[in-house]
Amino acid sequence: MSAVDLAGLPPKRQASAPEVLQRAVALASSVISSPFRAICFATGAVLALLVIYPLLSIVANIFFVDGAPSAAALREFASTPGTGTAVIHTLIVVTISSVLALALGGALAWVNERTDVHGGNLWDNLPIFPFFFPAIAFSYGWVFLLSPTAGFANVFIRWLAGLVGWTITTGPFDIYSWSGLIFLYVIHGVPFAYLMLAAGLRNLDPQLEEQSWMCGVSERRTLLTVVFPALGPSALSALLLVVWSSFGMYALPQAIAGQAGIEIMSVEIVRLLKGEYPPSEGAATVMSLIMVAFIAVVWLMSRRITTRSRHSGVGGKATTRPARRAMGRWKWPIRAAIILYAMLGTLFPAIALLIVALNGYWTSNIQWSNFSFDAFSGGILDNPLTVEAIENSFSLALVVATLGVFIAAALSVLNRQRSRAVAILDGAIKLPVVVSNLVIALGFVLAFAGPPLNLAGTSTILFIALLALYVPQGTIITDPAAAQVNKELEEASNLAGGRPFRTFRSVYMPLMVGSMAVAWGLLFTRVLSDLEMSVMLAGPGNPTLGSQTLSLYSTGNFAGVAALTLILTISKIVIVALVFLFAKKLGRWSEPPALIH
Amino acid sequence: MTAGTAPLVRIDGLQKTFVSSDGSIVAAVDDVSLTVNPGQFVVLLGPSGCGKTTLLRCIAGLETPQSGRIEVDGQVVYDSQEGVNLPPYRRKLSMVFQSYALWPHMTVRDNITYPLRVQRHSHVSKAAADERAAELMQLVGIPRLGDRYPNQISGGQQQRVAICRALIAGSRLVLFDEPLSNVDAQVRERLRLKLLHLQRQLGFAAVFVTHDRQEAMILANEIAVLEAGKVAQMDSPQVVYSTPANPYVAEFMGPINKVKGILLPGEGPMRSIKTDFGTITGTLPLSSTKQAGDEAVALWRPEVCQISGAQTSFVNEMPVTFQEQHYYGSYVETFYALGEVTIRATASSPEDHSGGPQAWLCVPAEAVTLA
Repeated sequence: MSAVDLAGLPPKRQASAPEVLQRAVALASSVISSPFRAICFATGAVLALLVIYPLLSIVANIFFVDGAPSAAALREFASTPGTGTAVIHTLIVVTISSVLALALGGALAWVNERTDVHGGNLWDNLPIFPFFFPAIAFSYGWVFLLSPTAGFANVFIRWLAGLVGWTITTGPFDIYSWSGLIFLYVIHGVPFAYLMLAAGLRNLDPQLEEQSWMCGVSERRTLLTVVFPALGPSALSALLLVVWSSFGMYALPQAIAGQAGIEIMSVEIVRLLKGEYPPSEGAATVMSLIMVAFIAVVWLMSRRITTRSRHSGVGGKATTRPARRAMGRWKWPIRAAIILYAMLGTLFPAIALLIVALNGYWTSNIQWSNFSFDAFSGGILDNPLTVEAIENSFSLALVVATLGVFIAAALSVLNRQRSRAVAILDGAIKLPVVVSNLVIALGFVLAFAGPPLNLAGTSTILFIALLALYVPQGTIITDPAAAQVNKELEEASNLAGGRPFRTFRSVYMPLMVGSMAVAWGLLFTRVLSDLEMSVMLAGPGNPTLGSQTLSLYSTGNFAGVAALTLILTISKIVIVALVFLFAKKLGRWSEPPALIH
Repeated sequence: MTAGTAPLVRIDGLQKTFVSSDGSIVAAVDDVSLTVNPGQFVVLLGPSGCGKTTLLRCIAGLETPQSGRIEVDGQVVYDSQEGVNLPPYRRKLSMVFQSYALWPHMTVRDNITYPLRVQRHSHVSKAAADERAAELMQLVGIPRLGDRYPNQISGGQQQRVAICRALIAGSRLVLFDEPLSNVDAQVRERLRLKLLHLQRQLGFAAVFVTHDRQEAMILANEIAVLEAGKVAQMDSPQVVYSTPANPYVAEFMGPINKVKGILLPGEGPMRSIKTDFGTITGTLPLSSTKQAGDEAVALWRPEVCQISGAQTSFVNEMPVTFQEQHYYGSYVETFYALGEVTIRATASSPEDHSGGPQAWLCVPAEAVTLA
């Protein structure tokens, strides 16, 4: 209905010069006639630019030197020791852990959706509880648990063994190993797989299975011939999600891989850029391109299979409730296993962090009587950089989440216009959702850290990068909320004399407020627990929770690490809980999304 | 020109095309020109896909045409030549939507007063706005619903709220997009009359889209029958019904009898066509371009048919054979065969065909239209 529409639907015949001029005038006048839309479009364009320019910088950095085509970056990559190993090691870890996560997530989904193991809402969401535990807290928690000498779980097992007269000096488990690393990747990946596959099963009409049973096919055969093939598309999306998050994962491997002698690409990218002087930008950019390429390959594969498959339409709507298989005496052992899994991802590492924080230092010889909150008060408040990191992260989270959610909502409303320009803009803005955070961060370093802007280490570059990274994630939640608002509600407001901004404020926002609250919670917790952007962009005098945690760990201040990550974890849980409570109340005019993580 | 005599809406050569999914270009509104006078009730009538809603949305500013000109209340709101295209919020008109489009998060009162609250140049106090809303709610018969939310009231009540909201700003033009199609038949009938009385009482001009010809005839001063984006005929309900411009309009306005023939030479509006069943005389509309020797169709409504048992040598007399008869309570419908053609006749009482199926059909010449 606006000029964008005019531009979007050009006449087939050749327009004469005056007509082109007329169109241009019409376009300009209608944009100016609605400042709100002009501002939305401009904001969107700036965001798109903030994403595209850094990504182009990466490509330019790989193939050009001073404007001339060059293979210097590729040569640097090839000549830097360990780069090839990193690619191979990463592939091994990601492949094995993704397959295992998919299998485990699928099993959990089947058990909860198709057997009597399932319980209430809380129970069915148990497998995704690890989502609420920040990756960095999870990683260090497990280091404290399964470190070969001082790991609390190992100490406990050795104590148990000692009771039966069996003396072990180290181990028995070692988190600094292939199996340790893959174990943590699996626990991290399962919630993604579970979420997708449980949704797939929920939408799969149980009548398809019942029909198969009625034809005399056994339950097991039905599972193989009916359920698995029909779940194909969901499984592929699950795989894509797990692979994408595993490649981009930095918190886990940075805590474990190095000491295990395993080279992981994300860690290598950071090391090449931050750990070496001068930084090996060429090798880092080539590495990031390979990472993106791997994700793209999985994406293309899953797309190809999904669009080709004849059963992609299966699912749709479940018309009947599924007949739940009675698990009999297996019911409680299975439930116990699910609880154990959820505790592996949350409670166990949290306990380890708590012990280290309250004990004041990390030791296998825990003095329970000495427990105090000194680590929180002394270890944190005495360290001005830690205090600053907390202040920085919380204020960044507050500003990025609040500003970001309004931008996301406005963009989602703009997005309702059926026009090519808006569609292209939307695609560009959403690029960071598919590219790993680390790659975006790298692009920001190349594009804005050096001359002419020289933003290296400033809070400006961090703020801009976080906004560009997380606004698109906000729009993923606000887009459907805006789309749910009947178009006639907007038109009725326009005809009543409500300008676009007034319509946004009085009609769209009240109807989207539940989803906006969820998006705010998501953005806030993501910024708070951000590690990738922090490690690449935060300067030494400008720390964040993420960068300060790494720095404390490298200096051996484990109690500080534990205290900081616990603060992070508790904040995240509180925010998620508050948002859950409020979103339900605020969103009574429209259904807010059921989950954030 | 004073506002009293000049048309309130003037549309010239309006063109709106869409690109359909197969890439072809479809004209939803095809070179439409029409005017709406102050206080007039104009109904845009046609089957779905004829472009009536698109035309309405072009007037509202919710769709942008490719070319043409629209003037509302002396203000050019769209002109492709001049590059004028006012957004809806600057067109000073109101609209009632098919879905009612009530904002679910606002009370009935807040919904109704919204136009007064958002318009930049209206300096209406909240108390005055609430009072105006209360008057309107009283007028449409929902006096005590102000504090309710839209999901707490019935469909018919929601529609009345939507009408109040459209009327509160005192726009001289109100657009209606099939506003009665979502309520059940009884409520629809009552609302229709209510709307008519409101329109006569408050004096606004209305452009009303519907596909229901009965609704159109009850409400309209003028009906514009749309066919594939073009105005096939625009006239008073009586003229559109009894003197349709072409078989499409005739059929859309109600059951019709059609007999084909060849136009005979002649002068004046009363002309004859030669058919297999003798000559039929009727009115050839002044707008018709048909020449002697052209194919033409004689059209007449079932209720003008006169049936008798014996030949009377009146004009337009044809021998018919009785087929079947249906009793509808207030009238009786009888089917006859005229050669291969089926003739439908309605009368207040049943015809007596006990003497045999043969009968004579007679149609007054002034009730026949040649098209």
